[in-house]
Amino acid sequence: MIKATPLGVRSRAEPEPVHDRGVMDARLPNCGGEIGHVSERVGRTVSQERPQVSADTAQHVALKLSGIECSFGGVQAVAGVSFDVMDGEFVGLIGPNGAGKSTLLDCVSGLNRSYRGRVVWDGRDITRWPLHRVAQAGLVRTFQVPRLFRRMTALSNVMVGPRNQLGENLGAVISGSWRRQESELLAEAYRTLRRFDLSYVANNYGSDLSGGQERLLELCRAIMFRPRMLLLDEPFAGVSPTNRRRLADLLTGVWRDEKVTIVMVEHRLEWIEELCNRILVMANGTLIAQGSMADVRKNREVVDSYLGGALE
Amino acid sequence: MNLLTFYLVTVGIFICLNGIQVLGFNMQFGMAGILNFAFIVLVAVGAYATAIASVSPAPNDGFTYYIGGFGWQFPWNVLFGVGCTLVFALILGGLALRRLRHDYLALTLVALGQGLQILVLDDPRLFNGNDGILNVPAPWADLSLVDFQFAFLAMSFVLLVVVYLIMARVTASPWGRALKAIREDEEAAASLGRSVWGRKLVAFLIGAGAAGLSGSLLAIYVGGWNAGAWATGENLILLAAVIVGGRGRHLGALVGTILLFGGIVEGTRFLPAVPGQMELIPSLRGIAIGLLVLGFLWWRPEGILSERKERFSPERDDQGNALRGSEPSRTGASS
Repeated sequence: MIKATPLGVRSRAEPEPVHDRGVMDARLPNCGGEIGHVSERVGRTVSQERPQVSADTAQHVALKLSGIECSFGGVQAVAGVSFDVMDGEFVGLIGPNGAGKSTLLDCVSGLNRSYRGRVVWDGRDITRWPLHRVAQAGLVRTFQVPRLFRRMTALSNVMVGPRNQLGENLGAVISGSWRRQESELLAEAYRTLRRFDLSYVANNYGSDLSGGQERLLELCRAIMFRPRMLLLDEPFAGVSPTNRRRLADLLTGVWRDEKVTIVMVEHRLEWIEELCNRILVMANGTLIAQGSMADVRKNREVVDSYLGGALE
Repeated sequence: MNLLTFYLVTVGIFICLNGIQVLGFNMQFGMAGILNFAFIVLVAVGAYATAIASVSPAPNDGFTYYIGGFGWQFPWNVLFGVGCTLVFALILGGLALRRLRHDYLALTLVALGQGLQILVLDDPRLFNGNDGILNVPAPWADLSLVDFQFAFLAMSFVLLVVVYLIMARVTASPWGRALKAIREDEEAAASLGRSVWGRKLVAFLIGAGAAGLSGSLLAIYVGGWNAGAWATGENLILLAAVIVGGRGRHLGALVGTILLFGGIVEGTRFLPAVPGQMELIPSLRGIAIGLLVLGFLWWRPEGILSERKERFSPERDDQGNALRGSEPSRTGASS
């Protein structure tokens, strides 16, 4: 096994390090025209030998959750969850419906600020910070139901993505000095849309896109922000089988090339298995297991509570 | 100058001043999504502040009371009016936009407007109640009436154009784009690092500045301001103008102003009065405006001029040739 390369040290021009993702890596640069079920099969066979980018190899704790609790009335949705996410990890968060995954994501991202516990991001305590400040710190989320700006075009949606735009300062707006940066961002936006195969809907309203396009566009918008960590809430839901393959490749690209740490809530285990270094399993508001898919599969409690016959 | 010209110039002045208001209302409602039913209160703050800054102190006659009375000349009285409106809006927006949203914000602002009007009406020590503050001096006292009319029309028109250009420039920028994003989905915009409250407050202040300017100029043009001038119903005409003209589009706001203030409000003045039914025509006017708004919301919710898609320069390839940006570059691949 090859140790994960320290992230952020290597420049993009240098050759890609081998992450020992086996067959998958060889396939990744080719983004188009693949058929979902083939890769799902490949992903399954590869996963057993994939290394973990875990505490012993990764060097830096990016996100540290301690004792997160959140209840709605009498229902305790999250009942004391603690875990760390290392820089450069791709973490999958799974669990049955109502396990508290999305609630946990809402708490960490600051969408829901009535929780107990502690959230430390990059050494800074960001407990109960509001959504926009968490985002400014580099931690960007997507939503379970994609939330586009519906009366804005796809291109405008993506152009909202970049943070700290010069043209959001009213002084620069009046003087007009923002236009130069705007053309650079525009070129980047076109590139990103092309990468997500969305350039042909660039001028369509957000409300006119299909469910799968909404997902991709939301992700596109989040990537334009250049976050350090992405919190994805069921990114594969509503995406057509053909585009799921594409989305998986894009996520891998974002994770590997752009060095974005990813935490992903997802129900489709084949994608969790293919993409994630580490899997966290939640049930009834608590973390009941973590490790590789193989570890998780061996865990009796997990199998009983959630996976049932699915992985036998 | 014959009577008709005089009348038309007067209507022109009112359309320009109301146009500034509608632009401000559109900035708050159309661009930022703040349904401000207390907009007319901001206009009134500008008008009252200008009035008390312009007039002499209240005479001790036993039935005229108001605070202030600084005797300031134009344009300082107008600047004072706009400044007071901005301070008022900063406090109001700072409090109301922090926690309240959508319908709840609108309801709170309706109540606030109504409450403040009742307060001013019932406590004449503030702004002389229902009688209002009179004899606000007009600027340029040495001009003849005719010259004054044209000069005021010219100034109102120039200010309308300036307000229009400022708003157009501000909204056609990444700042305006982020503001519209907040209007569309506050949480999604916040998830991209935008401070919803801060952005909405700035938009609120820009709209309030227009309101204060319009109110100040109305006070010095009409020569007074009273509690009846800012009834809550006045907001509905502003709302109607924005919905009919096209919310989220500055030019639409102006079209709506001309139709509503120039067409319906002025046009119904020429209907013959019905003997013994003094309130009939104004009531019918209100009904007509209501039906017009309903009709537009039903058949053309985007208004006469719909909000424009943001325009970007077309994508260019490495040689600088424009690519077909909006044309499908490939088909059938999407889900």
